[in-house]
Amino acid sequence: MRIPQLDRRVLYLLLALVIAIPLLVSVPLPPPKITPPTKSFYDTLESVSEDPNTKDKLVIISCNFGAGTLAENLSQLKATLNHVTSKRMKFAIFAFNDPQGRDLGGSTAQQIADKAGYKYGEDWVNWGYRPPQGIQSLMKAMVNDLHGALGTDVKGTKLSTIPIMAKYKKADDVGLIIEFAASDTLKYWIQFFQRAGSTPIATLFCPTSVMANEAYPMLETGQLQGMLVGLKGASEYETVMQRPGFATQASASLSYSHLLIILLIIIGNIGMIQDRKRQQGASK
Amino acid sequence: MFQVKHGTDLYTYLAGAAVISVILFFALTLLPTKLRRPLIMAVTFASGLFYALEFFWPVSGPEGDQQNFLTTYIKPFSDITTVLQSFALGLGVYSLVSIHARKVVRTQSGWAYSLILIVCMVVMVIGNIGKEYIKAPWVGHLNEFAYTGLMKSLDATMFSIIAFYIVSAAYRAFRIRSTEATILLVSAGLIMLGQVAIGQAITNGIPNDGFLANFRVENLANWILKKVNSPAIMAIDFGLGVGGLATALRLWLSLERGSYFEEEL
Repeated sequence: MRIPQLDRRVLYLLLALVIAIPLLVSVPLPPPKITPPTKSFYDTLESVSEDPNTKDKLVIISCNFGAGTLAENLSQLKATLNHVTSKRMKFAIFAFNDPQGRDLGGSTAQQIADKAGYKYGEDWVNWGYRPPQGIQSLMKAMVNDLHGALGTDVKGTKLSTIPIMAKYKKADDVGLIIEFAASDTLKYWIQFFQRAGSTPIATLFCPTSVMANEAYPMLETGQLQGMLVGLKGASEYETVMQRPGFATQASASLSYSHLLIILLIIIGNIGMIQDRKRQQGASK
Repeated sequence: MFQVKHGTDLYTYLAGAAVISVILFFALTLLPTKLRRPLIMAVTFASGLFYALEFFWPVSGPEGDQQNFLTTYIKPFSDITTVLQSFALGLGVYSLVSIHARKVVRTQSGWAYSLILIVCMVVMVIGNIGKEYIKAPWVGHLNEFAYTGLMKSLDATMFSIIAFYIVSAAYRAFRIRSTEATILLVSAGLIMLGQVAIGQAITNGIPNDGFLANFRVENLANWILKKVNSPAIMAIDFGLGVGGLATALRLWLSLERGSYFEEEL
């Protein structure tokens, strides 16, 4: 039987159905295996929150993503912030690549902070957005003087007058950096901030799936302590935290769409082999 | 050296800085053409030298607060960089508006798109910046409509469309035409299956421990990522790093040549 060449509109329709159906109705799916990067992400956050040397230090939540990668980065952010607030850790939202990160990160943090009973200015702060062009020099300045380098928070209030910032003044007062990224922004933390203080700061990374493979070497070298790989990483984290959310619901769409792509590749190759045999037969 | 000023002092310093900037600006425009290149080279070299020296110069002081004589100047240098970058932003906005406004006025081909761009830009500026300063409800509604209602949704939609192209491209182009393509396809298939729950379920029958556990899909995928992908990425990054260093040196020493560096100033 000859496999016909599928029209691209059929492919688009199949993909749309495979993504939409699991989001609308419950589709059976085995629970995800917790991969090593997700496990080390969880373990790092736990250990930082329990270690007497780091538990009272600031967590920097760096939101460098826009609406284009909401499905992945926002799911990772929600799962992580739920964990951070459950440990009563103080955190700061910061964005330096996409101005949308300031608003997306800030509004998500506001929702989760309200639920956790966090007060703005006392338990968390939004440093706002800084342009990426001068980020290298800004980060170098932040190492010794967070207040002076950043100036004001997102509302225009001086950092030095915000209660939470009274004891967080330089890199040594930061206990954890968590980067949520849609592009290559992690390198700035690694190059200019992570090891600029007296002790290295634990760093966690939440990239989109397509970016994750570039970060695996940093897991090997110890520059990164953990990573949530895209939506899959977020769903694993929700599983570990036992707080299912959007990522858990959407992982069925992700699973079946991956399966569809593999099936289509197989079908395409069978079609190619059949065509090749037919051409060989015709030439004989 | 650089102290924060408040009240009258702040406005005096701002006015002084503005006057000096204007004088400097006009002085630079009067500079003879053949002196411009050496001036740019000198400023570029001095700027690069500051960061290089600050990085390599030995530090001293108590643990956790070790500095050298240049460290205190990083903050003002950071501010200067931000101010310079804001000039680039203003220049970008001016360039964009002037090009598209000209197109609209002359009703050149595609003028309607240019008009949409200008209108969207004005609406977004009024809504997004205006909400910080104007407390009227309509400004908030405008921002909600333009940013949350349109831009966020359009941004997410544009990005999600890539999935459809990926499916189409994978179906048409991912063929086992050679040994390399076959290795690539098998690796990609294993990674894809290893990353999703339904793929992992395929090898659920294999025990979690012992030699056979190596053949579970997620372990195979992890092995490819850590043992094959990581060294390759490291090698690429190393090459990029060396290339970046060479380019940085050429820029710093004004040795770079090309359309941006050889034009008559």
